[in-house]
Amino acid sequence: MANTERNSRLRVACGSATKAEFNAGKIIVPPDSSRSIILVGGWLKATGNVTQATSIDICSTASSPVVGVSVAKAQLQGAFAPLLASTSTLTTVGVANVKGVGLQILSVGTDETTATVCDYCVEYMTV
Amino acid sequence: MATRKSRELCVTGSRTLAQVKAGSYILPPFGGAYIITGGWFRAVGADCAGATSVNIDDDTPTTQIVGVAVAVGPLDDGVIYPFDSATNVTRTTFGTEFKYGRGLQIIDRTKNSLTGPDTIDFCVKYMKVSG
Repeated sequence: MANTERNSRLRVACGSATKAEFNAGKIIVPPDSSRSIILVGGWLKATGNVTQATSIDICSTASSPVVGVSVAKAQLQGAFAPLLASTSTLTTVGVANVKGVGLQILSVGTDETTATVCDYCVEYMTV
Repeated sequence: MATRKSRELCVTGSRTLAQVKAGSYILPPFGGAYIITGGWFRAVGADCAGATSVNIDDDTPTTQIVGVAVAVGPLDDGVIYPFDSATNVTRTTFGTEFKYGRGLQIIDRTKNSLTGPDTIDFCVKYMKVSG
């Protein structure tokens, strides 16, 4: 993390994404051309076991998405999966994305067909 | 404890090893009180060692009031360690307010014995209350 201090309101995006939505990528925080997003926490919870997708990620909406957090399918077996768990891969957490880029929930690997829904709660700041 | 309702805020940043050893403000004093509600630390550059814990404490002279203390054991290079972890975290003034007029700092609780990382990143979720 650059030695840049950020202090702002904590925002939360909660909802559900169907498999069709997270396979294609569902925008959960829309881009704002004047703001950057800092992902700081949250959780995922799949309904049904994730079996085909390698992981479900919270990543940027850039054309080449920048991964924030990647939660492996082993953690998405119907249980509550904190994003900051030691089993997650934390790539861009606590670091500001570039301005004008939002966040999306996106499966990685083969399209998921077993898990029907993935609930999400993503904590973030905009700066 | 009375119910406190307020907007949740968040401060993120980074402090050098020297700053953490000496104690460094992350939230300055103001007319009200802070309540820590969550957060995490991440060592960068090397694993933490040498000290007992890295804390978020208030700025009471001589005897700081402990907010949250994270044992150095799990503070390994690049690992985010949440304050709500089941182990290695002591939450002392957590979800309840510090004294009015006190700021919060990140500090090596054993004072100047922390070794290892170049920097420690932090994310502290908090509320501000007054009256």
